[in-house]
Amino acid sequence: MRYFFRSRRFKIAATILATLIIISIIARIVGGIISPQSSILGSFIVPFQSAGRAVGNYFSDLAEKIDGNEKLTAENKELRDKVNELTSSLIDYDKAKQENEFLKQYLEIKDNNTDYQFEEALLIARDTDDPFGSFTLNKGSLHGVSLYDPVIEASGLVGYISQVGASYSKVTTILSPDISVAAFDRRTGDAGIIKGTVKSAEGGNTRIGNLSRSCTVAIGDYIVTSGGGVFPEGMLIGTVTEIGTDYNSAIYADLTPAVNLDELRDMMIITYFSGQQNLGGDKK
Amino acid sequence: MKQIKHTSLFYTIVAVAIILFYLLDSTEILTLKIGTAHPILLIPLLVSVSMTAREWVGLVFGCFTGILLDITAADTYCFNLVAFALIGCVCGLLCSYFVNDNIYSALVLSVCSSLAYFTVKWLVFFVFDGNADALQFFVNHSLLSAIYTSLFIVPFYYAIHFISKKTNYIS
Repeated sequence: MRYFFRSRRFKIAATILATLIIISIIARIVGGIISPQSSILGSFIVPFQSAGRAVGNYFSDLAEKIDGNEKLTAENKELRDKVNELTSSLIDYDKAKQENEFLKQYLEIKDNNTDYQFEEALLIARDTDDPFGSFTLNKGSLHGVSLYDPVIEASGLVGYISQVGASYSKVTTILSPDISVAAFDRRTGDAGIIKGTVKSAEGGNTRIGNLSRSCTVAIGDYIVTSGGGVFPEGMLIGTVTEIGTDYNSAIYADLTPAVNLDELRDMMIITYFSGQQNLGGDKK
Repeated sequence: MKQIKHTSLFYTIVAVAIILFYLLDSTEILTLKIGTAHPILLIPLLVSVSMTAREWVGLVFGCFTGILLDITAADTYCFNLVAFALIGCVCGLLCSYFVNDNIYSALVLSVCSSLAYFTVKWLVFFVFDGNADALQFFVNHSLLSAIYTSLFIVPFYYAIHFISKKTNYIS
């Protein structure tokens, strides 16, 4: 066994491995670039992942169609129960109207942001061992994608580009503790920071913390991005489902994301918007 | 009659198997998740290959497997490259000098490799990162996933040995 470690082959292998590790770490720290060895191998593997994903989506849709009838019946019963609840409870018409107006304004925000440049992307692979749901998209630097570009779906914010390769990129979702989004309650104006936790991610939720002690955030409130940095203003993040205090006695609110992160397929990467900044604070 | 060694065929089959299981997992065609426990099938597969083909082949296939996993891994730098290279090399060395090549050794090596992988990953990316509820995550996710992963050594061990016999591969 000593001979193994003293052999020339082992020394060469160790040197190559150490070099790859150093290059990977430097690439990651300096520019969020995917390591060269992963990038090269990924160029060959990504088309197979795309094909595999398409196959998986086909069988998933097929299964859903087969389950459709049973689900429709169950959904019908559930909806009937919900209707009964709604009619028997007190519905605040003004609040419902306010929510409706907010949704209309949100749609107007999307229609009015002509400065947004989008790149459509497809989810091709997931890191199944990551509790925060990170995944890989089929677009990279060759398609104009840059580090920290926001990723959105029709219903809201998904996350941001955390690593960029030539033909694919990785996304960190809003469930992750690595994300740090300035956000506020659309109804009350209370501001906080979106930062996921392990506990909230296990329930498929994210968390807004650093809320002031006098905040009036309530369950059901919509939380949107404040803008002025990596993310544009007005992106819907989620709705408040729980409010509590952490071990520092700071107030937080758990949010159910507006986007269903388990069923993502097609998304948009915002490659440019007016006022977009990179992490160094420089404008694009 | 002299038997023909099909070493290249054995290596090709192993490489294809690694790519196949990687694709099945990353594209979620094969979902084996039970609750919060999610197995990484490439760990027992690599252990089986290393026990059969020993340390050098284990090191090479370990690096290959690690690079594959790093393609889709979240912010883990080149953790998988290092981890799987070590798993492949160490399992091969242990099988060459210390342990017998049988299913019981395979089970022990698989359990130790899985536990080491998930524990080190938890330490580096959760504990040292200052995540709250890190211990809860270890118990609910990492530990269960490690145990679940190591159970797959049984089919992989026999499959790799079957393939090595059919290809007359001798390490």
